[in-house]
Amino acid sequence: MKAFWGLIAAETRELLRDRAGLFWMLGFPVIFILLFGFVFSGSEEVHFELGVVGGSDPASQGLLEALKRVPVLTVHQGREEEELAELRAGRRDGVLVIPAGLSDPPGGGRTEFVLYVDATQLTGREVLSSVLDQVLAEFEAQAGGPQRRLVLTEKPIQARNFRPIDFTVPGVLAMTVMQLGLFGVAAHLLSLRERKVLRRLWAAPVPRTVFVSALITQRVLLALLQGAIILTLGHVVFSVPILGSRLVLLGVLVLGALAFVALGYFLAALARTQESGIAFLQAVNFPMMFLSGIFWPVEWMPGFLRPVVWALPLTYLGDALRQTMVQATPLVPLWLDLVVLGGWLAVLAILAVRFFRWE
Amino acid sequence: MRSLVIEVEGLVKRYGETLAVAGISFTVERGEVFGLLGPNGAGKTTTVECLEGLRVPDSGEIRVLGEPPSPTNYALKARLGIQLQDSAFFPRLTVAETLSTFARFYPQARPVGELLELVALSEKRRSLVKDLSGGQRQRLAVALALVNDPELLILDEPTAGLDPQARHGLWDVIRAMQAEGKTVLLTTHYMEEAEALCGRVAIMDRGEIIALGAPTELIARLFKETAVELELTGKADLDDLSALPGVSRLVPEDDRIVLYTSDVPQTLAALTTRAAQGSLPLRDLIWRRASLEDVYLALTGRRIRE
Repeated sequence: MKAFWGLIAAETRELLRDRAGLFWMLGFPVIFILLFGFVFSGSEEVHFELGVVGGSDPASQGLLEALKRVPVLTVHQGREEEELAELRAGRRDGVLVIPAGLSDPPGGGRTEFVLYVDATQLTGREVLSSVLDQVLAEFEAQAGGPQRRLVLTEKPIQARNFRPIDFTVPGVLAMTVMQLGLFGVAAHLLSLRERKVLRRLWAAPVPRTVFVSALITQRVLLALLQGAIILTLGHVVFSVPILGSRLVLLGVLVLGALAFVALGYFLAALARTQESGIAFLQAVNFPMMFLSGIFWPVEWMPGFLRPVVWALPLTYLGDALRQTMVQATPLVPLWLDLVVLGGWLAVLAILAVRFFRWE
Repeated sequence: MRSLVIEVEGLVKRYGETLAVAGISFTVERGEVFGLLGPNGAGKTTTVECLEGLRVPDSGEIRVLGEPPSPTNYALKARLGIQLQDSAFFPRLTVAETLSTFARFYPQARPVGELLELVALSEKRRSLVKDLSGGQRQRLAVALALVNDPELLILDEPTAGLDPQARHGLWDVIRAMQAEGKTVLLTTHYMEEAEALCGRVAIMDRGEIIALGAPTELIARLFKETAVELELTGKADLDDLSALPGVSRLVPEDDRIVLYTSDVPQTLAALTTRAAQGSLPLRDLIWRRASLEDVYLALTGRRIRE
């Protein structure tokens, strides 16, 4: 145990004193998200696609006309299930249900309007609610006073209406975990091997399992730190929500980090020298970054690349993170993501232990 | 307690087609400073790595402190002090952090301050490893070998690349270890280092031990004479030179000849006469007591450093 903590302390000091390495691991994902977020948020204007359900009676017609006069709204009329489907598909920002009996004589009670909104649109749905509140208040006043109280109830539902940034933040998190395995583990091990640091450790009575588990522990903790930074940044600056269970998210992150750390060990064992190893790591890094659907949807990719997409472990980590964070439409069910990642972890761990080399 | 600290019997190690160690045998007793001597590629490092358990021999028996070394014999590794050829540690740790990290790998450890004192690195304790000079790094490597207060120190080329002052500093460390009763096995290709430090040496060449014994004994066994080295600018008559008074043996090299003589004044007189007459193209001449260098030269026909 002394040796285990000694190695963790040594690796941590080594990391904290490596400015360049620290930048790539912590600074780079932050800059990436900020750039991405600001580039794509510049084109967003305040405008809402509003689905309206009900409203065949005269009073409702009047309200409908009032809604159509609001410049930031585009009103679509339809049946409730149609409009909700549109909302889920991301083609509506909200669906307003006008209750029946609006033209009936006021009974003095409250009349409830339901507004379905996209749960992921934190700021957008607030603005939409307040716009509609205002329209209802005016309508109430015109209808002649306090006989009738119109109440707007917001019902968030899970929709697919992502802003690009909602898609990007889990993607950057997945990329960071993958690169931690490739560069934080594989490249690091290659450099330790090339400098004969590993050899010297080997001569000491440190079992391989102690050395390997110390580095794994330290790197998984680092992945969690990276995750915390990325999620906080996404939430504070771009209001990217965490809709799923935080515990599940933590689990996905740990499983993903373990799988990619194992990949790092395996790749380090395959490479002969540091120089050829780095080229080799880049050859793994680039396809993963661009073919795993972490920056754009898998559907955008041509059919002949699909088998590659499904073969890459990062596809499943990206999908699992996106499902738990922003409850995106799953590529595959979450349990399947976890099984695939677990399978990669098991196979890579066995290969990594089998082929690990001190020199 | 056994008095044999190292026992090697018929050790063979191949790398593919290359025979690195060709069946060597030797023993080292408790308290000895034992030297493995030879040029690069003689098989010294391979031998040492088999003793340390870093390599598994193809055949032969090894016992170190009574145990068979192996990559997973951690109990044995904990009793050894190992300095590897150009090994390193985390470049961004300080000297003191490096030592205390290593101290955690062993059941017992010497205090860091004491180790720094011993290898004269106290004023560098807060320097990062990557900022050390070659000599300081080498001394740190030796301090790492001492960290667990080992019974047996195995040092692979501990003074390679050091300037003479630093080298003598390390000699003092090794002598201090011997005074503490530790056993030391070291490899070197510096003959004078082996003569100065080692009670016994094994001279290795192409994977074999070609001579084994105390340096003075080896020298006396082969040479009762003084060596006279001639540096030449052209060809010399070798038959004439071997017939000079007192000369018992002659080893020709490229632009040099070494004569071994039992009568230095007579031989020198004859040589200077020939040089003055112009029959010997002599550029320079030195004479010296025979050394391990001569033993190696006599046994292999080559010099150790080339």
